[in-house]
Amino acid sequence: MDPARSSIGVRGAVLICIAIVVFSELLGLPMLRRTKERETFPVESPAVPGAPSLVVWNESTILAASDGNPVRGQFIARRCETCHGIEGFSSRSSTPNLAGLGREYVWKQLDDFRSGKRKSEIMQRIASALSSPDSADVAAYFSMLPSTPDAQFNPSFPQNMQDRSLANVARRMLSVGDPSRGIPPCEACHGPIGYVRAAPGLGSQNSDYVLSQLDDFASKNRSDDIDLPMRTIAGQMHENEREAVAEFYGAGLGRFTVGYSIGK
Amino acid sequence: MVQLTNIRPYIIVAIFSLIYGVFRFSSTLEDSRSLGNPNYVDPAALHVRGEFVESNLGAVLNMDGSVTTRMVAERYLFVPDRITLPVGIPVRLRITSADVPHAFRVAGVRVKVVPGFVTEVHFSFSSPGEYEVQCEEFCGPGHHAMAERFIAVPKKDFLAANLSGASASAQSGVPRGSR
Repeated sequence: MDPARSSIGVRGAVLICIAIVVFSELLGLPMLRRTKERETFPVESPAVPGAPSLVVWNESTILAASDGNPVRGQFIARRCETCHGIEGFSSRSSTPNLAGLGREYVWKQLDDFRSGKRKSEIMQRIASALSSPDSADVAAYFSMLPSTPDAQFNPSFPQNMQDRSLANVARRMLSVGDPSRGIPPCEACHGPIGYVRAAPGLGSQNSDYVLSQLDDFASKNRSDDIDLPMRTIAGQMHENEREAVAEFYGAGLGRFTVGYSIGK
Repeated sequence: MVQLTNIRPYIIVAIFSLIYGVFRFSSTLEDSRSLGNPNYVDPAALHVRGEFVESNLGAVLNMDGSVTTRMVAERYLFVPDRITLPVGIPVRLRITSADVPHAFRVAGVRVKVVPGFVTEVHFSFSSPGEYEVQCEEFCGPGHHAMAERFIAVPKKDFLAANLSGASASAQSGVPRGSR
């Protein structure tokens, strides 16, 4: 037989390949999912009643929260000075300092106060008077304030640690956490070694406020943390650990990366 | 015998079949997901709609006697942080991530958790005990402390707790520190 004629040739090979493809398509054998099959996420539908917060961090909310005008925010924030201090540092340890807080966090908290997901009578009234752009402007203003207070305005921060022996407990919680209980270090989310979205900086925060929030999270009185991180973590912490961490932050010791060494 | 001049088309077919076969019949993406309908979720909106809202997390006894568990993995914890499951009953675990990929191993199954997808695995515990499970996919500075506790209890204890009307998800909200 003539070898050239009996060979199927390149054309024949291509035909066989096409036949293989068609054959396996027709058989409908499992195949990699095509990206076309991905369903688009559903259009905004109302949140379930038990939702912790109405804030969903998508492109539009991130933009809305972080695109504020700090000059306009300074004007709006004049009404905040009574409680939160002229430079964002309040004179009472139970009222939070707002200086240097992240924009997304402040914007989200104002939204949570407005919607009632975070309960505070006085803040709900105040937040209801602010629109979403107003909140973004205020957040931008506070985010740009220096995180070290000026003593002449009588800030409460920093406070002295009442029990310095708790400092080691706090140091461990901030920089190592407790892997055996699944408690991550505070610094991994609240800085300075790591940040997650809308986790507030705590380096310049008052001790009584931090303690009251940790206790509220632990008792689930405060429940606006998306996907339950703080309620879980604060519930796992022992009471003395919450006190230690609160005092440590209130004394200004958490502003920089905290080292922890065993056997000191 | 095949002569040298005739071999080219066969080589073409063979190479093509190999490459096409690898793509066509590969199941490397399917190790821990159901082959059927792929489940896509919006990782930013888990708390407002869908099957991973807070009230829906935890273990629930199905009509057919199996158990379905829903969890969320995030930086740097699993929610709910401890789950009580029965020994000897098939468990279907559905888990998704709220932010970055995580992974862990439980009851001989490796679970890869990815944002945007729902990972579904089937397993059952063979003996009771508390299984502390660590995150095995680097997710950030808190990765070393990310852990979950699976508590496997005898079948009758689990059924007693779940058939009497007490909700299984109520257990998952109990903080570890108080025990």
